[in-house]
Amino acid sequence: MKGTWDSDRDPLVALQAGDAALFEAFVAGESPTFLAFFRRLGVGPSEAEDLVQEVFLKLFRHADTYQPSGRFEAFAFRIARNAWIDRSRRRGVRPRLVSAAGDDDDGDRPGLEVPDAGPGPEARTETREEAGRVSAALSQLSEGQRMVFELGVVQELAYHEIARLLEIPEGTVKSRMFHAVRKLRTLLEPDTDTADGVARGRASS
Amino acid sequence: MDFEQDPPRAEEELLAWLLDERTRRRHGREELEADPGVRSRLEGLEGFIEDCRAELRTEEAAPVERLAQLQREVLARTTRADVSWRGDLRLMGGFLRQRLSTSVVLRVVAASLLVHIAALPVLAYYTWVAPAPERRLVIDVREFPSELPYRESEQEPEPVPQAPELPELPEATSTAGSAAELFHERLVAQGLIDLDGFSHGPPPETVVWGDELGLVLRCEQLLDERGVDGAGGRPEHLAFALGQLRSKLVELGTAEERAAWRALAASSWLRAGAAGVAPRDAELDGRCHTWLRAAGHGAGPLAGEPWRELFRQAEGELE
Repeated sequence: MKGTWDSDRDPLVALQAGDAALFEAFVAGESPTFLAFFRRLGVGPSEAEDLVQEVFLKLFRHADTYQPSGRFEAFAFRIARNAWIDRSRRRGVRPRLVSAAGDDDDGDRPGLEVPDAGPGPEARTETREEAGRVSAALSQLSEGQRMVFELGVVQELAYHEIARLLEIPEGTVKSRMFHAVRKLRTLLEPDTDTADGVARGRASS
Repeated sequence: MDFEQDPPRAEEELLAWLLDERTRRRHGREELEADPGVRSRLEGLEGFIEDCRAELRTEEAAPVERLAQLQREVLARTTRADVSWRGDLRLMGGFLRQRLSTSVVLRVVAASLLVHIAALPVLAYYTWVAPAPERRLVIDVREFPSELPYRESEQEPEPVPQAPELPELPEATSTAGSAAELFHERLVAQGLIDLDGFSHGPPPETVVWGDELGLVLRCEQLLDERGVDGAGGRPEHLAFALGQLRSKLVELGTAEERAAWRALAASSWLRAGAAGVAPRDAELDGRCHTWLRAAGHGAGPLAGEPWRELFRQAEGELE
């Protein structure tokens, strides 16, 4: 999370103490984070906004019974992921294995586990164009790999936090992260534009 | 590789060192970069991760205005929620909007409900407020149709249905049949029956004929056989039949359902009397005359004993 709120303090603990300012700062700072999180999971714009609202509402309602047992960011992303899963269930959509035909030139990627939770192919293509090449490459990953990459690389959660959030062993997190990065590098490295972008990124950092 | 003690060299371990804080705590960067190959791979991975992170984080998730609106909506429903009744209404409205937007069935039901609610005042108006239609009885004098100017009908006059031809009586093939035919003609001539059947007395279906009709026909037949001069026929048979006819006339008396038969039998009895064949019986003759007159005037049932007595007295006075 990269918001402008004081991440050393827990917004829900502050709420329990009667201080709503930190929660409001959290909402203001992390709305784009959650929105981008859901968009990268393939959710449409308006539905992503609904999910973001749902996440903040659930966090707020949890304040009374909340007992901190780790970083608040990890807890917040657990809520967000559950909201996304609930939404997929409500729509009757389940992640399924689909063949990435056309991308599998060398045959070393027999089938990528891509969740069909988002909009249709056209909308998905549109989403890819908007999200940039990395997002497009990210959408080629399996749901598990994408979620691990999203939480580990973008949201900077620790491996044990990801393992707890996704309810998988830490070794699986490590393995999925490795495969995710390898696939992404395979997808992005041959592209000269991406190489230029990477060079620019290095220069800027 | 014992990752807990040795510096990570595999890419998976290097990634874990880069991304996981706990793993990073175990080995310092200098320790990893001591190996040039590991250092190169680590820098490559690190650069890739940083680039991906930077690119993904700089993506605009939504326009600034939408984000601001989203944040306002979240705060309005959480920390800045209106706890007054307006807030409750707003909350309820929001809940309804959300439910309606997710369910087609609910939208249809809501639309139907709306239509019914809208129709309710109209129904109430027509039930309680709207005046009942006025009912008037109009009585006026209209011109009698016969006084209207005659106009030729444009339609062809409907053909007048022709009366069905009366069935021919069966051809007399026997003496009895011939007698019955004559007897029938005589009854018609006397007006006791018309062509369609008996018009006087009780309806035919209530008439009880029994064997008595045969007896009357038998008498008529024997009277016919006798001839005009009274020389032919079978006198013994005729006397026997007339005796039976007389017994029946006395026996059946004034029973109403026998009125039709009584008229026929009276006619035969008086015919026999006129021919000098029947024994003279003034009382029975008088009674037969009365029955015949009553039948001729359609007053057969009145020809009971009290009436007959009255008729006799009246005739006596007239005489």
